[in-house]
Amino acid sequence: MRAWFPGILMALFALFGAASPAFAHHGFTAEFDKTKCTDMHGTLTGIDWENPHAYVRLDVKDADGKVESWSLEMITPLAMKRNGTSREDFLANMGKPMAVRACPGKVGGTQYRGTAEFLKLSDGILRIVGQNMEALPPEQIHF
Amino acid sequence: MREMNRRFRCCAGSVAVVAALCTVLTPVFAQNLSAPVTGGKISGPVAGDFDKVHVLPLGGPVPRMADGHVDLTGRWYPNSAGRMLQVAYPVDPAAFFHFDPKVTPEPPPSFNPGVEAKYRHQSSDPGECDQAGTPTTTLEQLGQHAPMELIESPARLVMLYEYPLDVRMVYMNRQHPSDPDPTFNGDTTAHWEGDTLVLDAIAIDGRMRNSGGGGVGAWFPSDKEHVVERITRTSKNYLTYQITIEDPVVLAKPWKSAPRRWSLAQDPHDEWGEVFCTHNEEPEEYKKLKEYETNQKGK
Repeated sequence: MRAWFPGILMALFALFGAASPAFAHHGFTAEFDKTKCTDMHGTLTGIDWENPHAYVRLDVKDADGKVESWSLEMITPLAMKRNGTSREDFLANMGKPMAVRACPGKVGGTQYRGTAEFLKLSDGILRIVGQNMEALPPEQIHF
Repeated sequence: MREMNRRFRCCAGSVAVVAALCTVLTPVFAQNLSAPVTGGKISGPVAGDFDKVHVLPLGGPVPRMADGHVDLTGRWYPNSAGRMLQVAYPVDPAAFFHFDPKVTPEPPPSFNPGVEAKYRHQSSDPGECDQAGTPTTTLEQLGQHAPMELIESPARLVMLYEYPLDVRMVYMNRQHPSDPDPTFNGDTTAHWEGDTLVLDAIAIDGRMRNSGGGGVGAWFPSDKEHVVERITRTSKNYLTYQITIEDPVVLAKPWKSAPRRWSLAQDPHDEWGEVFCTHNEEPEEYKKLKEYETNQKGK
């Protein structure tokens, strides 16, 4: 086992790490700031279940009580659906509290726009809905 | 226990480094194209039944058509789990196995002298949709973790991909037309060599980028490109898919993919879906960011 992990890691790096610059439909790092990811707690206000990316919308109160309406990009709906999160899950939890780990857009982009990494609707189930931009280890993926 | 913790920390650290590098080096579209996380556990319930992910058994003998040929029909995932995986959830790394680059490396293309500048693809702008075509759509599923659907009949093999959306017709046991029109998938014929279906493609549009999807870079074909693909169903649950790109104008020697392993979808409710690159909010956002960057440089 001990010798196996470095091998696997090398293989994973070879497969995913030195990635080709050929395909660029979506460069998450070009659009979002992975150094400013944060936990957000708010109210689910909308879901745009559309290609190529779905968007979840939520209202978040800042420290002064002012409401910020965020739009967070997620992965493609089909991938979410195959991995256990459907449009119906969002609809069933509309208007209810939710938590999300999200990374805001880069400076110069639209205000209150970001990308969601993980979220919990009011049903308490953790849902992987985006890229793990911060490369968080599993034990740090919680709210 | 201390040794276990040390090993875990070491592994987690390596994963973090790899994943961080991936994030930096990977300006690509994908559902989850970064290094799979290994080790550790997410606390609490997680959607997706990832705790049930495992390496599929062989599943039994190879199914056959009425004519005795191997039946390739099925939805196939580029891993060993028979389902779409998600790199952020720490499943058994073996479930991600598509090929082992240490055992069967996929080298960069060897260009003929003096042609690389013309045929090497340099970069794409963020927001650019991936072009479907032969053989890149197949190779690229490595990063998409998405399925390839094969529908076989005695006369044709239909190949379907969700992203980039691709419908490819392969004609069994016929000759290429004498002067086929160039298309992104080219003209593909196929014949059986034992239990291996050999696909032969020519007439691929010169704008169709070749990319191994595994870090070998991308390049454009000449009108002499010839792609040979070999599909072998090795058991009920697995097939291997190997691709060779020959191009006497561009390549000093053929580029060969590893024999990549695909696994059969296990969930009967896992049905075909669409992933269109429709550009919803992103192009405007990229434009805004670029303008901001330009303005900042001008100050």
